[in-house]
Amino acid sequence: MEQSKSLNIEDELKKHKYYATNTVGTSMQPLFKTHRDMVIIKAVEDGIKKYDVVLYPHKHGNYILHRVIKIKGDICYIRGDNTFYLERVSVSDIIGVMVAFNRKGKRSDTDKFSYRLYSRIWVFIYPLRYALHGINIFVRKVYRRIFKRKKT
Amino acid sequence: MKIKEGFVIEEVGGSYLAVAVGDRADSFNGLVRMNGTGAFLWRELEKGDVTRDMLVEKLLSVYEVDRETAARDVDGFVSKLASEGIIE
Repeated sequence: MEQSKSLNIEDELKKHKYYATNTVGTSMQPLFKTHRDMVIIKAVEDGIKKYDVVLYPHKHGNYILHRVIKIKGDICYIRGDNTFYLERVSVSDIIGVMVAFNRKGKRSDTDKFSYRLYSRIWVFIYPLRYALHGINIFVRKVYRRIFKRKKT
Repeated sequence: MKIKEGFVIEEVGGSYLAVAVGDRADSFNGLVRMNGTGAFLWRELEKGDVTRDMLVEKLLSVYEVDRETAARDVDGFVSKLASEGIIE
């Protein structure tokens, strides 16, 4: 999920402690879809925990909202729920933590049991998701090859 | 008056935040911050077909304020929403 930097979310969080935006991008699917949902971010106060969905500025000038899957010292290892790469982000670079969201018109808070269970399961099944993604790409490649051969 | 379709409002930490979702997000890319009174008026405006005077009466029936204060609150809030293109 990305958000344009022009809004200056850091200042908003410093001033009001909370910030909200609609969701943009595909990297946090199936939890969030572009423009469908709303996320509420809180300024970092009590530190960052594994499974937190955190907001941090990206080098390309956007803000990224992805999930912490591991913390080692002061480095967070972060991955979007729908991506296949790890980002290494310093704890001090993280400006906010998602505390609630409105998905398909329904409010959820991140301390809720069902959401916490979802987070854990989603991170736990990553190897399966990765394997399925690999199979999907492979099958597509094979199909494309067969299709090409038939055509020529 | 009515809040346009496509806005979501949520309470957090004692204040209220509203953003646009769906198709409305294409035309509105901001964040509206409100206190409890604002959120109360917002909810009334969501129902649609409300006038300024109706909002003032609603405020008076729920909050212990004098008519002058209620009217000032309504006018301030409505003009803020109007200037941001949130009501129709």
